[in-house]
Amino acid sequence: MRRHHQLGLLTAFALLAASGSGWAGLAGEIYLTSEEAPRHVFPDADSLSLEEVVLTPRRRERLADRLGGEVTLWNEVVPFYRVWKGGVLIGYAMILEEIGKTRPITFIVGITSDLKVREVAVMAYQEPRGGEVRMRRFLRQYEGKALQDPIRPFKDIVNITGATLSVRAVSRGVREALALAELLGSGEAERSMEEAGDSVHRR
Amino acid sequence: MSRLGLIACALSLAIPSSTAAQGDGSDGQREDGDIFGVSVSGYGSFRFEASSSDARPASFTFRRFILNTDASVGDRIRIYSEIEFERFSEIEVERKAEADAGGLTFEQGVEGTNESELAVEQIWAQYDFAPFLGLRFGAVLPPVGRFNLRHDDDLWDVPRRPLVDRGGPVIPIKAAWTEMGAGLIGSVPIGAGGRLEYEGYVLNGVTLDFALEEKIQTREPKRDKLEVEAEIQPTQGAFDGSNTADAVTWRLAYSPALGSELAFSGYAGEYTPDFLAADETLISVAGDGLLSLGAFQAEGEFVYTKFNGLSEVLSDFARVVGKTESKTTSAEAARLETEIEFDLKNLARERWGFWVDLKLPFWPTVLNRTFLGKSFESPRLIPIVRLERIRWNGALTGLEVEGGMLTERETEAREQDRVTVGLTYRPVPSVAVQFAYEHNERRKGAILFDAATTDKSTDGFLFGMAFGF
Repeated sequence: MRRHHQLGLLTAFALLAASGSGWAGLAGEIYLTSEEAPRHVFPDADSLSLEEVVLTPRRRERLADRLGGEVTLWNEVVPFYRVWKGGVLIGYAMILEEIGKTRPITFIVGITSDLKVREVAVMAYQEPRGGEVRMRRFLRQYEGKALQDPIRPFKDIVNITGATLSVRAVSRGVREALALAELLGSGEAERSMEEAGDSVHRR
Repeated sequence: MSRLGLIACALSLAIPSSTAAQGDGSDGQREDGDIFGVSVSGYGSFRFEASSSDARPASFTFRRFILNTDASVGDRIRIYSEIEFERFSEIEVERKAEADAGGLTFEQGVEGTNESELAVEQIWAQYDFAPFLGLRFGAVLPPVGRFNLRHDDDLWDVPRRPLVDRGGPVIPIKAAWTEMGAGLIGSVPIGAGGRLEYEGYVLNGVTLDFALEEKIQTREPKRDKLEVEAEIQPTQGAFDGSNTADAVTWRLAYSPALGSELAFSGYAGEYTPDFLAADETLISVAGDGLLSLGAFQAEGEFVYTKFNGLSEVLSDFARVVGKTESKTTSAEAARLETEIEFDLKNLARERWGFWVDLKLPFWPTVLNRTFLGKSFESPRLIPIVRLERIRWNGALTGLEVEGGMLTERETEAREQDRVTVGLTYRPVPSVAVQFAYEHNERRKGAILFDAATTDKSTDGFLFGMAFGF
């Protein structure tokens, strides 16, 4: 009799799984391709221009100076989007990779033209634990943050027990994105770097 | 392959590379850049303990070292393992067969350090049907309470596991409790900020199993003695398919907001082995939770476990075993006295207990320029208080069997409180340097649970280090 109960339990779960496509929308987990991601954080954009920014040692140094600490980005090249609406620049978006505990977390950070975080979305997450950092309810904490904010777990970001390294990785990435937007967005500092040979490929 | 080659190969698997991360869609990589590799991680812990109890000498303990591998072998397919070396220094087996003039000799010896254990804590494969549901198959952790699921030492700020999960325990088998089985696991968002997590498995399940213990004694001027004791106690189910998969376990957890969770979980399964006629079940139910208010965190667990039909099981055991003790008694026998004994251990009609951790992480910026803070991104100090109580009702303390009949059974109620006050320093999130003072108080019963001492109370100082990588 007990065995029948177990079979029933498994069958119920299996039926739930079979009806999966209907539920997928409820899950809300954000897995995005690099084509979808910029539109996800700036759905109101008219057009996007992509630059592939090579993180040269000099650029890393500048970022480190601005952040007051080491740059830990996994990327060697950062896909950097300028976002336009009605001919006006409304912000920036960039795809970053940071190491969680053992694997890279890939995410996009949307930043407004006044250098505040508009939205963060995780594109790929592979760690065996800590998947909660993919969720909207976690990522929502970064919205409106600026470089002046701490953007650190246990300070202005709620930590997730058991996923502290992933929380730290995303927080670091968001700070680096803000610094990169400031550096590339201001143009002035960047132009001098380009003249000195640091490469940016525009599309 | 040479040993160096093997090490190089292992390291190349363990260290993700940026070129791999960018991917070209070739074998082993997804086009959007995910790595199909194997990551190696782990955790470990050590402890020094000085106690007022004579049963615990001031001593260092190698608690455990764990190696994890995690392989993504396809989109939505993952294989995960956790291998444990607990109190482990050495296990060495020597075997020899020799023909002499007078016959043949087989010789076998096992050498090792006390309580050395090499164990599989988890090995499972998971196939995700959808973002909200996956099938997990293999050696899994029964999700009863929250500690067994999250037993990694570097996640905790007290350098000893709770009585409910280890020292007693109250859960059917001490953590980390592993069972072979299969089931479903997933989660869905609820509302704007909520989340529901669920998992359920069919398992081989806990069973009464034996371990043989041998003792040799020299006893001048008496005869020397060889004693063989079969200790029968609840153990995790077999991994070789020899016991019926007749247990289920489940957990349902609701998290209304980040940093808070409320969960209910359970286990039910037959615990009587095939050599007994009785078919009796063991049930365990638990409630656990986590609450965050700013930096303050409260986390806890309550577990209740019941062994149904324990009297019938003991009577049946008496019938099968015939007697609990047998020994040579004649004075003119050889110089060696032999004795065999059967003993039932860790059985109680019911068990219950709870633990609560209260902690408030902080960091004084004045320490940033000291060796404690320098070069670390977000170090923390964590004052913590842990409150625990555990109780066993009808705990079996003695058993006499003669002629297949249960002639005497002794039971007692055992209850113990423990209060731990500690301070943990975390220079980085996965490293904990732990200091704690611990007070144990025996409320009922003859001995303390995890110290096997008759002291009414004990006090101890613990200094531990736990790390994850």
